[in-house]
Amino acid sequence: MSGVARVLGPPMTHQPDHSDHPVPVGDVVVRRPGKEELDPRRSRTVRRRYEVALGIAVPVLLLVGWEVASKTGLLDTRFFPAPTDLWSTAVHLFGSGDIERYVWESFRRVLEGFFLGSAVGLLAGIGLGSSRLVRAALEPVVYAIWTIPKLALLPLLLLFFGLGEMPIIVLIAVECMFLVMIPTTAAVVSVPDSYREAARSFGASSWQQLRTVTIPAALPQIMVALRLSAGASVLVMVAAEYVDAKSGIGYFIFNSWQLFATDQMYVGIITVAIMGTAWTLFVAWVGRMLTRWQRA
Amino acid sequence: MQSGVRILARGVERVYASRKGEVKALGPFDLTVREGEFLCIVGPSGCGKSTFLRLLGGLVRPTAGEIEIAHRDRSRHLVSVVFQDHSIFPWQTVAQNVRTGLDFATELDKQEKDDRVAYWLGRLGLADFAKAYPAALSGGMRQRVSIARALAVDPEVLLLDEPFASLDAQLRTLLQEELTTLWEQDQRTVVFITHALDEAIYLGDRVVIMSARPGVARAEIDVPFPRPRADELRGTPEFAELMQRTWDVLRDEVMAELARSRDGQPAVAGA
Repeated sequence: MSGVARVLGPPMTHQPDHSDHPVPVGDVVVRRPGKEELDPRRSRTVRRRYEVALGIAVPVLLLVGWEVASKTGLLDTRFFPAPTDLWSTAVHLFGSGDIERYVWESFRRVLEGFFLGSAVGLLAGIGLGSSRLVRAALEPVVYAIWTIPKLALLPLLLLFFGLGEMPIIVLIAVECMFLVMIPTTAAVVSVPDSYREAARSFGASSWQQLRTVTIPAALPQIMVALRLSAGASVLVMVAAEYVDAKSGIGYFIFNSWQLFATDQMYVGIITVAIMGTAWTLFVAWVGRMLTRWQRA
Repeated sequence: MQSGVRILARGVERVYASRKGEVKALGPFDLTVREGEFLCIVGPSGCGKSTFLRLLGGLVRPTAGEIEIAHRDRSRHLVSVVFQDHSIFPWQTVAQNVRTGLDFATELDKQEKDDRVAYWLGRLGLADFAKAYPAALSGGMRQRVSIARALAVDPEVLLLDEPFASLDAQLRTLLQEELTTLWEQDQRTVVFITHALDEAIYLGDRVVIMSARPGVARAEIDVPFPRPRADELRGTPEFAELMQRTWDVLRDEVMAELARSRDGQPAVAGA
């Protein structure tokens, strides 16, 4: 073909010189694909299977170890009942229906506190984030109050509201509010100006900018905050129920301790762990659904 | 304002307050843009050309002077801006992005908006990507979305702020061609900011060269090439000669900016 310039190097007339190379002259080093390169999909599946298997095997082994140690008397069963015994206690407890009622009761408190606190935190965070003036006025106060351990407020709340539902829900709400408000403020402040300018160039009103730009842009960070706050809501619920409840899973755990029913206590702790995990995973899932655009 | 004049800027200045005192980013800057003209503004980095575009777009106000922009049809949106990057919303699909501009700027009914979105996605070759999120698109595609969004509202004046600066050279050439074709079909008043001389000369009817900061209009070049302009124009001796003449002017300004940055004067962010 004419017009195509071809640039060729000099022809190879001899073997490359390996004299200052650890490989002796005459030897040929070959790079060729290994098993993994020849069948990348299969090796990925195999690796994946190993990972899943390990993820299951390790906890199972730990449980078996625990079981054996308890049954052989290596562990004191008063403190560490065998997993099989815990299982039969759990079956019995869930069969009687009490613990289910407690779980739902606790979960309702978690939900109420979480939604109340997160909603307030979200609104406050957006307000703080969008206005320099509001920040100047409130930020010092917010940070000062934030450093107070929220659990320390429980006695105060008991004083205000008396024993009952209210202090538990308010305490969860206060914790969630701060956990959501502070990251939301930061997220709103850090929304790149270029996005807001783009909206303004089309004449978007403040409300339109907030709805179309600021909130979606801040949403990934806000969802992380909501996840943390979901976890914290379970923690605060349990702590508050220890002190101020005649029902709920926290009450159940504390009550089991008072009765020295170790096996019941374990069942309660495991139940609350499962509940907390499910709840935070759910919030994380909602977050992923709301920020699908982040994935390419 | 005279008829035939679309934009008239007189003594426009913009001063930014910085920690070390005040920095004058622009001006006094004078400029006249004629009706239906494709005007390019070229200048060394930091000369305030982007600042001037923000002033035109109403995003920032001048600290002195005045800009008049004729708004002939009150029912139409006056100016749309195509930004360099990070301006289309990653949380909206391509179609939603184009739609959002319409939602903000117009009061058309749903059907009309749908039609316009479809039309402009088609014009910019984005029809197949209507439901994709920007994260899945290349830089060139994203700038096409930005252009589609700006044109969909049918603005009287289109402003472009170095829209192709972050694209690779081949893609930039391609999009310049597309933009020329697009403009030759609708003859809207355009102000195009760039630091690339060849881009300015290829696209513009007229090129204004700005001085180093604070930017003032330093020279003005009428680009004589007829339209429609094909890509081959870039290879002609006339194009090369005009490039050379323009570069002679611009070089002094670039040198001035370089000398100043060596003296350690503060740079102006985003100017």
